[in-house]
Amino acid sequence: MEAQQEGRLEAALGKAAQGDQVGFAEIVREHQGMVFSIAYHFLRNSSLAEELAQEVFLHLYQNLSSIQSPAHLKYWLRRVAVHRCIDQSRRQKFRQEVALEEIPEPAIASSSADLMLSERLQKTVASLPERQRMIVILRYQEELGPAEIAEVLKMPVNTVKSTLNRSLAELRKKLARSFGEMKYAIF
Amino acid sequence: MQFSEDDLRRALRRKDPGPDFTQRVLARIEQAESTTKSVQSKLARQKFFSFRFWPMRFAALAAMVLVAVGILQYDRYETHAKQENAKKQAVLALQITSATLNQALHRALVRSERSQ
Repeated sequence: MEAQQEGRLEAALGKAAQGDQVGFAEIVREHQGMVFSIAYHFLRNSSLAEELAQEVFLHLYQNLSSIQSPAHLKYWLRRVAVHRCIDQSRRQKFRQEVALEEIPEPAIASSSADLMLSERLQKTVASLPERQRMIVILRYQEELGPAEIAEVLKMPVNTVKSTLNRSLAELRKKLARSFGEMKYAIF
Repeated sequence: MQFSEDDLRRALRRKDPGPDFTQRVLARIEQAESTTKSVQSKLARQKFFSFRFWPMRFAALAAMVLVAVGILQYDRYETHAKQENAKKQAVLALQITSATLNQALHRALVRSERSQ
């Protein structure tokens, strides 16, 4: 199944490299979730994430000749998305306000406690410093190992591991504090 | 408040940008391409009229004028040389004719003197 998909993507890549829009559209459909989600979880702003994802695909369109394989394509898209997110974040300080429609719909029916926890976690991840935030996103959204994260971010593997541990500790601390504040607000 | 790694995975699961995302990307590519083309032609126009290239243009124009004047001068010189050559040849032909006539006259005079 995976080999079939790989073959399909390779064909789409070949077509797109020759200027075929249908082939390029297939590539976009295949990777739009990954690129958009990296941007969305990092920036916590739907329209900015959409803008950034579009820019990444536009950049891909202009550099299709340099892409060698579907695996290289995935790596390239992830790397460009990650670096653009960090650049964007440096250019602009975002308000951490989230509109109601920007809270993702749950894939399966979950309890309100799960939803609340997910929302809190997203907000807390978004409040981490840039590098820590991106490492957490790449680890838990993209399921990358420390070595792969290190390659994408051009960092030593040990730095990635220690940053990840520090980020998780910070998340726990921040989450405990925010739930504590909520308790005071409710009672 | 505790959370597990799975809670983080759930919170950070992939989110779809919406059904028309691909169309929006393609439209943006089209827009970017047309913008690039118009910017390129604008840049080419600006480059053509920019002051930076005026000395080069003047030099090229001066070179063209010089070449044209040179060609005209050479043509005039060549025509003049041909005319001079033709004049010389005509004078030479007249001189030869004159000499021949003189010789004939001289012979005729000698014959008439002998007959008398």
